[in-house]
Amino acid sequence: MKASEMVWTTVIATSLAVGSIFPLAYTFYLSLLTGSLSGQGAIGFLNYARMLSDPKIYWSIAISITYTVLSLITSFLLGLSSAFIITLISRGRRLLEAIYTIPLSVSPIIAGIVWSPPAVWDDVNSLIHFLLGLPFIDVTDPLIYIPIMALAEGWLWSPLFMLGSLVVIEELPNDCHEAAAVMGARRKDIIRFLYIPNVLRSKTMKMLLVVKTIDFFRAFEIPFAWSSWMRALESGAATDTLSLLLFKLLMTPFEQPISYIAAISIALMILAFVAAITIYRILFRGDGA
Amino acid sequence: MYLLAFGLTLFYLYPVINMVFEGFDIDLSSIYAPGFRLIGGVPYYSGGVTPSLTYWIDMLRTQGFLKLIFNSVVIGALSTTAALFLALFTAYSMTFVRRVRYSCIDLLMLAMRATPVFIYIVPFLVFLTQVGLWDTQLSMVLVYMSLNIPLTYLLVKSLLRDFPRELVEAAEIMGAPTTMIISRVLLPFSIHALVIIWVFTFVLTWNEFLLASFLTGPDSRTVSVGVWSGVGEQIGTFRTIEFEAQAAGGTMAMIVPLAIILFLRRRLARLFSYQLSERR
Repeated sequence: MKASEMVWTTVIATSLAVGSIFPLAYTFYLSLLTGSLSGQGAIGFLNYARMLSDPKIYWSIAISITYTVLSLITSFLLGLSSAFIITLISRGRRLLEAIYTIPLSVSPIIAGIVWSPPAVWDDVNSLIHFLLGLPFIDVTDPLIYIPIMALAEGWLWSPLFMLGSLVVIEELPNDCHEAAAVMGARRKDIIRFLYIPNVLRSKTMKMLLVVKTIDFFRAFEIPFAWSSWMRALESGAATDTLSLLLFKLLMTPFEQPISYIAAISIALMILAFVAAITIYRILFRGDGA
Repeated sequence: MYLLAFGLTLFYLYPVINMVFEGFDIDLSSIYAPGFRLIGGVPYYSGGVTPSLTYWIDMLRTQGFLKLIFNSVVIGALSTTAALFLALFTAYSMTFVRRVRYSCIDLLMLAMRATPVFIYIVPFLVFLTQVGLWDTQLSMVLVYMSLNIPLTYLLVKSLLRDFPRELVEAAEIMGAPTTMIISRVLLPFSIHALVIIWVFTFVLTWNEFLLASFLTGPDSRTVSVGVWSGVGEQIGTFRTIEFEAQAAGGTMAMIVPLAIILFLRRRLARLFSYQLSERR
C-alpha cells in the first residue's frame, strides 16, 4: 500500500468517524447547557445530576428493561418454535416459511396499528366474548397491554430468529442426522439434543440477540402507537419506554429544557451500549470476541 | 404438528389479513358481534362488511400516498447506496490497511448503532433548519446516510473479515491501486452479499418512523410517517388519520418490503452469521 493511498483511506475513515460523531458530540454539548438551543450558559453535568432524582427516568428505565426482556423472550421462543415446526413437517415447508416471514416486511409503526385495540384486539375480544361467552380482555390495563406490546414485537421480529434458526439447522452436517436416525432418536430428541444446542451456540443467534437487545431497549414505534390508543399522552405513563419519554418531553413545550432531554439521550445511549457490549461479551465468550 | 403449524399461521397472518380487510372497510368482528358495544370500557362500533375503495382512494388522492412512496424510494435508495459506498471503503481500509483487530472505529460504530435515534434529532433539526434544508429529500438522504453507516460498516467489515487476504495482497504486489482492488477483486467476490446488505438497509430506511416524523414536512414526508398521520397532520399532536385509512396506507406501505423480504428471506438471515462470502 502506497503512502498516498494510506492517507486517502485514513482520511475516509476519519471523515466517517467525524460524520458519525457530529450528532453525538452536539447532543453532549447541549446536555451541558442551561436550557435552550441558543445556549444560555454552561452548567456542567448538572442535568445528569438532576436525572438521578427524576422518578420518571427510573420508571422509564424499568419499563424499557421489562419491555426488552419480554420482547426478547417472545421473539426468541416464537422464532425457535416456528423454525422447528417448519423443519419437522413434511409438506408445505416453503409456503409456511413464506407466511411466517411476512411480518418482517411490516413497519414497526404499522405493527403498532394492527395490534392495537381497534384492530386485532377488537376482533379477539369480540370473538371470545360474543362467540365463546368469556369475559373481555381489558386491554386498557397496563399489566395486559405491556405484554401485548411485547407480543407485537415478537410477531414482528420472531421471523428473523426463525430464519436464523433455519439457516443453522440447514447447515448441520448430514452425519448428525444419520447418527440420530441410527440411534433411533425421536423427533423431540432431535430437537432437544441436536437442534436446540446448535442453534443456541451459533453466531447467527448470538448476533441476533445482541442486535435485538439494543433495538428493543430503545423501542419507540409500538409503545408510541399504544400510547396514542390509550390516550396516555402525559409523560410518565405505563407505555413510556425511554425513547417514548424523550419524545413526549420533546413534544411538550416548556415541560423540560432541551438540554435535559439531550442529557437523557446520552444516558440512554450509554445504557444501550453497555448492555450491548455486556451481552456481546457474555454470548461470544470463548469465540475470541 | 400440523395443528401447531395452523395456529402459528393464524398468529402471523391474521393481523395482516385484518389490516388488508379494514383498508377495504371490511370489519371482520361484525360477523359475530355487530353494532355498538363496550370492550374494556372503550366504545366500539362495527361498521359491518361494506367493501369499499374509499380509504384507498383517500390515501392515494387526499393524502398523496404515491408521492410518499416516491419520497421513500428516492431517499431510501440514495442514502443506502451512499452509506454502503462509504462503509465499503472504510471497512476495506480498516481490514486490509490498518491491521488492528478491534479498532476504535469498530467500537465507535457499535456505539453509534446503539445510539437512540433521538441523538440525531436535535442536532439535525437545528442544523437543517439553519441551512434551510429542513423537509427536503437531500437532507433526508444525508441524515439516513449518517444513520445507516454504522450498521452497513459493521456488516461489510464482518464480510471482509472472511475475505481471502491473499487475493488483496497479490493485487497490491502487482501494483493495483485501491480503487482497482475494490472494483476488480473485492466486488466480484462479494457483490451478492453487498446486494443483500443494501436491501436490508433499504428496508430499514423505508420503515424508519421517528427521524422522518421530525425532519420531514409535506414535501419530503415518507411512507411510514404518512401511514400514521397522512400528509397534513403533525406527529406531535398525536392526532391520526382514520383507522381504516391507516390500514389502507399500511397495506400499500408493505407491498415493496414484502416483495423484497419474500424473495431474499434466507439470505437476510445470513447477514448475521458472518458467512455471506461462503454462500452465493
